[in-house]
Amino acid sequence: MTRPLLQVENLRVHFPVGGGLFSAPRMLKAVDDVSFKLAPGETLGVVGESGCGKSSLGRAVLQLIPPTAGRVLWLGEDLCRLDEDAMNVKRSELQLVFQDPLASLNPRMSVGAILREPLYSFEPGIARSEAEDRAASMMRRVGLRPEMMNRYPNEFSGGQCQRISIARAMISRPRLVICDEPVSALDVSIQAQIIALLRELQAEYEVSYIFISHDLSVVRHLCHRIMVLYLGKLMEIGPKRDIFDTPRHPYTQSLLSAVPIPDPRQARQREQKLIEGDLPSPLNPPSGCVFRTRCPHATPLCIKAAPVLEATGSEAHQVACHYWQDLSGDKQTKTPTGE
Amino acid sequence: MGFLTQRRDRQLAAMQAAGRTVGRSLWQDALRRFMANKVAMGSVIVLLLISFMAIFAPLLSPHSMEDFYWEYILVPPTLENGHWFGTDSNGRDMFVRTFYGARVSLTIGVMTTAVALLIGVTWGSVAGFFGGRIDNFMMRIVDVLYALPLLFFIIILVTVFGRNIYLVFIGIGAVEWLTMSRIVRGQTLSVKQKEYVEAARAIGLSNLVIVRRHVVPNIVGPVIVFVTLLIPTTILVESYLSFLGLGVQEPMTSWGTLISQGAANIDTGPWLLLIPGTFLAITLFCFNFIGDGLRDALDPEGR
Amino acid sequence: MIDTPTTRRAKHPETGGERPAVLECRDLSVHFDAPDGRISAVNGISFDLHRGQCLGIVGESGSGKSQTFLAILGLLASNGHASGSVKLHGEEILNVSRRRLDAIRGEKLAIVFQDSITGLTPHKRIGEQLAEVLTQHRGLGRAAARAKVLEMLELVRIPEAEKRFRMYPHEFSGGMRQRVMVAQALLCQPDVLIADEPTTALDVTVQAQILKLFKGLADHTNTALVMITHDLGVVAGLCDEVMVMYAGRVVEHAPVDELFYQPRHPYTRGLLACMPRADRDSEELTAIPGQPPDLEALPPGCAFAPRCPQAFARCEQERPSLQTARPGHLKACHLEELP
Repeated sequence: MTRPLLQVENLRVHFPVGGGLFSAPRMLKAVDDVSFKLAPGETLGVVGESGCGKSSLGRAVLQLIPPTAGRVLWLGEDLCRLDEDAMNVKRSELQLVFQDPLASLNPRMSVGAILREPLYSFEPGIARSEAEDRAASMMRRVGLRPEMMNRYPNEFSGGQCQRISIARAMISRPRLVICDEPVSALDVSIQAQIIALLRELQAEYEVSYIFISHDLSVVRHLCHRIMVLYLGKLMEIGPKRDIFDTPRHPYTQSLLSAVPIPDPRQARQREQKLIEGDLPSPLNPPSGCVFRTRCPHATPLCIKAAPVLEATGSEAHQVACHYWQDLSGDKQTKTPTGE
Repeated sequence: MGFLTQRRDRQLAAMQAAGRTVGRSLWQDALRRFMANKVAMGSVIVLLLISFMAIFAPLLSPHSMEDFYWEYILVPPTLENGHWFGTDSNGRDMFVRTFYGARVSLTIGVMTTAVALLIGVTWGSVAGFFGGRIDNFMMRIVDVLYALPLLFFIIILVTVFGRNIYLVFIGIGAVEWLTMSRIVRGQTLSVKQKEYVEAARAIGLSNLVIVRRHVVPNIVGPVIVFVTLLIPTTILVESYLSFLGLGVQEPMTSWGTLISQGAANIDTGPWLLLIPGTFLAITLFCFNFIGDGLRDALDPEGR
Repeated sequence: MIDTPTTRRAKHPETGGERPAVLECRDLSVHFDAPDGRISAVNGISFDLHRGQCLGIVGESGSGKSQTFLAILGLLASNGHASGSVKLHGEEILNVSRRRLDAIRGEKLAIVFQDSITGLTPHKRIGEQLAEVLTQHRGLGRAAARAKVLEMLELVRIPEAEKRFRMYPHEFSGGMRQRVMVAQALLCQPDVLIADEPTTALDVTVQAQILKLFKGLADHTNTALVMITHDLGVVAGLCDEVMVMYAGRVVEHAPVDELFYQPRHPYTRGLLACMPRADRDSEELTAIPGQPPDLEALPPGCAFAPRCPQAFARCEQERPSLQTARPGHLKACHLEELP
């Protein structure tokens, strides 16, 4: 493996919740002991349901929220140890695209000003004409007419706002862009446009993505590797093919079987492995394995001990389940493969 | 329902189809909507007229503030002798006095609001932006000050320092900024959650730049609305302080002082109460209409 | 009677006799009075709905899919106006008096919205709220109402219904609240249940549970279901028949298998081609170019023409009407046969 661009080790993000003057706050473990690596030009999908800590993970990597413990190594350098000024310099290499296209653009600034802002920030003293030229060419690159530079975000549709947001993230030529549900708020027909744009930009700029999404269909289409989170814990991580064809963790299996498939015959035939119940409160996670309360295979061991991440057949595919070997032994509900 | 947002999307597409390349900012949009509001625009004109008169009427009239016309005591309004609004029980010209009062009342309204604005915006935005302990501490101070009754506070000021117009400024300003700081804090908290503020952090901007460029411009709307509603409140507060004899002192005058004197002469010279009272009421109405108009213009979703 | 797929299918498969439609909608249009003119949101929608049938309504934002059914329920915004005819068991219900509508909405037509929390009063126990519907609409005694509510809560698979009966809405999770809403909608055994994006706000695993619940409805009750959604995956697994809407008009209306395997309208084909799938590796997605339609500036011809890869001169001048492509399959497109 080439030298990783990003290496996250035992990252924890805990938030104090509640707690008044006299009572100690409770700790919400948004991200709990998560480690992974990311190679240059790679796309890592982060999958999980609401409250699984996927957004907190992305923001902690960018140091937008301070990690409680662990290391975030960017080309070998620990970002958590940098002071604010040093981190701000690094930020040109790590950028972010948000879910809500309109809310991520300041409504009082013209699109041109929004796109020039990162340039002025990262390259102080840049000439206005150069900044304008670069903003214009970036607009063209994301499929917007540069003549629209003087317009304001409220004059663009959702899909166009997302293009602007992507342009702002890409204009400083970052090496990593964290995309937090970038297509979830868009219409189906517009989603595909944005996905295509992200792919083109990746090929052109050799940028890596951490693609945070709850939509497994989009993740399958866009990502090389996939990481499954549940209540802040890493459940399973591996190459896309392994995760989709031979999911080892019962949670991954139920996630996959819950995705609606736009194909009536297969939808009728498929046997769904649905899990019962709802997500437990992240403030009061179950002991042992956090998934045990909804897991059909849970045993007393799962209540006592939290499983550790272990490699399955290949080193790249790791799973945190006591019984993954037994589970993969019985007839695996392979997701129907269409072909 | 989602229909409003959908509509927005579609309006945008329409504008783009028309091929405009010059954008229209939210401010320009708001201005356009405000200009279309007839009541609010009318109020602006009336207020401008009153302000113009407040500045120039004492110059236009042949009479002056301090002149006593012993031969004209308690003359009703008339066009004949130049006392267009009549005279008071001391034979002073009411036209000049009314607009002189307007000058004082409006100044107090604007100045006090400016004081409240300055302290309130700074206090509220700092508390809201930094949050946590700082926020907690600053807002508890506000809570404590809130508990102080305004009238009581001013009576103390007056007994300690004597009657003085500046005390009125300080007294009202010291109370009104509290509400302002709460509003600003609330707005800052909500803007701070917005993703564009996070995006600004992600491009390495400092806190100061973020507050200046991304937070303040987005809280200005509600603040402007509050300011237009605060001005009439302070005018009213000043007038009842003056009515109680705690405000502006003779020979200076304000609408409150005039109303107070008019009330004393209500049997002999009802115009002494009616004229300044009417002007005060009109001014209050105008500010409120403008405030409403601004609110509608700045927040189109609320329509 | 006009020729809709439902009228074709109106012959009962076993008895061969005519089945009357529960809900007959003819030429329904909706427009809104906006400050800058009149916007027409829905144009000439017709369909029949039969007992036990599930009709899917698919469309993107601005397609008018929600407005159509809000109009049927008399729930349009105050500046909205509906015209046409909607008959429930042969009785005209469009634009009837408020009192009549209230009676109909309580007993025969029910709706489940996306944001379920707004449907429940926060300060009342769940059980009381649900029982109230029965005591007031049906004149049931308290004990009878309670028994009925418990039965419904069990039908929507709420665990420990007895205990939940005495809880407040905020004590329920999102998925659980949505179930309560379904239970409430079913209490009076409505003839038609309209579900407007009921799972959009939910996590995948919970969505799958709710969809399974809807699927089971047809077996337990005789309720006809209308599923309004933007997700073709939801429709594929659940519906018998699908209506695709674009810019306030129906562009295609067909049995579910035909729609997915032999789509006749370029928009439907576009939607199917631009959706990534979780169950197989998709080749490049073919995005539908352009922006969502602008209802205030619709072209004179086909509203989809500006984004249609196969549009020709006629499409820009003449609006295609909804015609029979095959028995039971309607489409609004000038193309005779798609390549």
